[in-house]
Amino acid sequence: MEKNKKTKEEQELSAADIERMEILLKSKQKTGRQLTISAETGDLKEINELRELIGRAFENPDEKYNLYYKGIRKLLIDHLPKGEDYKEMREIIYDEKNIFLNLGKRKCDNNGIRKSDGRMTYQPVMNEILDIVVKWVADSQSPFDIYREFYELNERHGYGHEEYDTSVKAVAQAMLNISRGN
Amino acid sequence: MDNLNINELLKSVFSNKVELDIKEQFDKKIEEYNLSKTKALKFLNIDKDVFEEIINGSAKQPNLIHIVKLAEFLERDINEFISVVLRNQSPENIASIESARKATFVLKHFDMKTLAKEGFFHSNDDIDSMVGKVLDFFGFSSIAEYEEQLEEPLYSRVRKRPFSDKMKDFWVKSAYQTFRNISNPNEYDRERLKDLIPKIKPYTENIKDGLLIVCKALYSIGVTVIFQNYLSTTQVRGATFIVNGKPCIVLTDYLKKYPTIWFTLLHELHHVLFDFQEIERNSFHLSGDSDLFLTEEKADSFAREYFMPEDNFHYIKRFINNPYMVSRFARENEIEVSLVYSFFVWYQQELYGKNYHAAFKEFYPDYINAVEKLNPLKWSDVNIKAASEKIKSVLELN
Repeated sequence: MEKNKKTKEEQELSAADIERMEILLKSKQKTGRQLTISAETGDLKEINELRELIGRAFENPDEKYNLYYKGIRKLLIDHLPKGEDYKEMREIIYDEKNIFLNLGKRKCDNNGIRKSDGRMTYQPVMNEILDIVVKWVADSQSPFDIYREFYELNERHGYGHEEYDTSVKAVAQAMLNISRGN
Repeated sequence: MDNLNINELLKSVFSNKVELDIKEQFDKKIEEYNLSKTKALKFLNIDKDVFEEIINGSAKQPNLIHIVKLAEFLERDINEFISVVLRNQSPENIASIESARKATFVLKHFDMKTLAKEGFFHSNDDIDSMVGKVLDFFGFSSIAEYEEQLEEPLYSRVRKRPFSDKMKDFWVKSAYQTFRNISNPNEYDRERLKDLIPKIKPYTENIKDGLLIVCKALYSIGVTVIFQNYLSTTQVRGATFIVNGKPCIVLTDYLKKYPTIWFTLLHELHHVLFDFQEIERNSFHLSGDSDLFLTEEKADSFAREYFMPEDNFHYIKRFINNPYMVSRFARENEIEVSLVYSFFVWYQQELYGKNYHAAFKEFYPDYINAVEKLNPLKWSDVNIKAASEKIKSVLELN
């Protein structure tokens, strides 16, 4: 009798139990990293705020400025490895990004001069790449993964890739291989 | 005699309260009783020279029995009478009372041997420098201030029991004083905390910055989290304080394991959400301290459910020896791989009584990398105020 009573009590959930279960349920949903701290200002931002920028497709100088400087460029600066040791890796990643923003124009086409500026591209183009960057910050943050994402993005659009000398090319290839798990 | 308070007594010695003239009182009394001085002293059985020494303050070590007799004869309160006698004492005698008081203070509150091992005291410190060190460390100018500011708020509430364990007491006071110095200006908002908790998990994967990012986010909604190096013999892995109505959490590196730090954080956050009032009544709650109230299991199971519910254990146990599968599973669940291993070990012990205690150590990242950005308070630090400033500057968003 005593035992039954206890079981019944246990079955009744208190308000706190329900609250606890709600939090745990929310925690089970995959959220990715939604908090990021700006390396420059130390501000805490929710990545969702950045996602809001993406929805807007109209051409607007303010929006475009935000998209480029506060979005794409800043997130890459904040989340790619820093320092001289990783400079080459960063350059290779930025090259892929720039080819996409410039709709396929490469530096190697004109002897090291692109004759085009990624910051002046169309807003939907910026949105497309920001979407990839935001997703990357939330998911993996591995430099190899973002390189692969950019590389595959250019492939999908039928753009080429920068032509490097053999040593740089080997680094780029290695980054692709690592990200693909080969 | 009930409340013979040395502090008050010493304070009155140095203050300029109205003096009680013992000689004048004595003369009045013998006149009242119509006695000669010699006769009176004979009744009291006090030697005349000794009596003179007491009333003019030249008695080197006034005899307690004589003091009590005289106080009785003059019908004065013994406290008042003692302070008058003391006031007439030589500066050397007063100083020797002070130093006895200091020694008692150190012996009563501090485990000198263990604290010397922690680098807090030095083996050749004398009592004066120990007291100086303690006051500097906590940021007080006198022993009385230390007792008023720390003993009273922490122990004079519901739970009167001061610690029999001096190290724990020291740890609690250090943490409390740190939180008071940091004084988080952000409003505590329980709803925002509930929203934030589900977002914490993926940050376990970011060993270098994850804990810092989470602590900053918590600070911005009024929950202060600090890290303190584990203090020998305390057995405390974490604690929750309520200071000025705001929750404050201390994490320690008891067990020195990366997953334990995250587990403890969630455990304490559970206390913040569900035991707030209870903790506020008691000022603080120590986790790992078994004789306190029975909310530990709930907080533990919350933290466990949060990172790795039992179902997940049953899934991964088949693959536990395949690091690739474990890391994929960890990534799928947005937790750092060592958390998978540490919960695996716990479930094995809990469900099957199997001890995997030392297994998978190679997959545990160095927890130091995670906590050093939080500027942990070190026991050799000069003072809490400076350490708190450092912590605050890290937690605050610009």
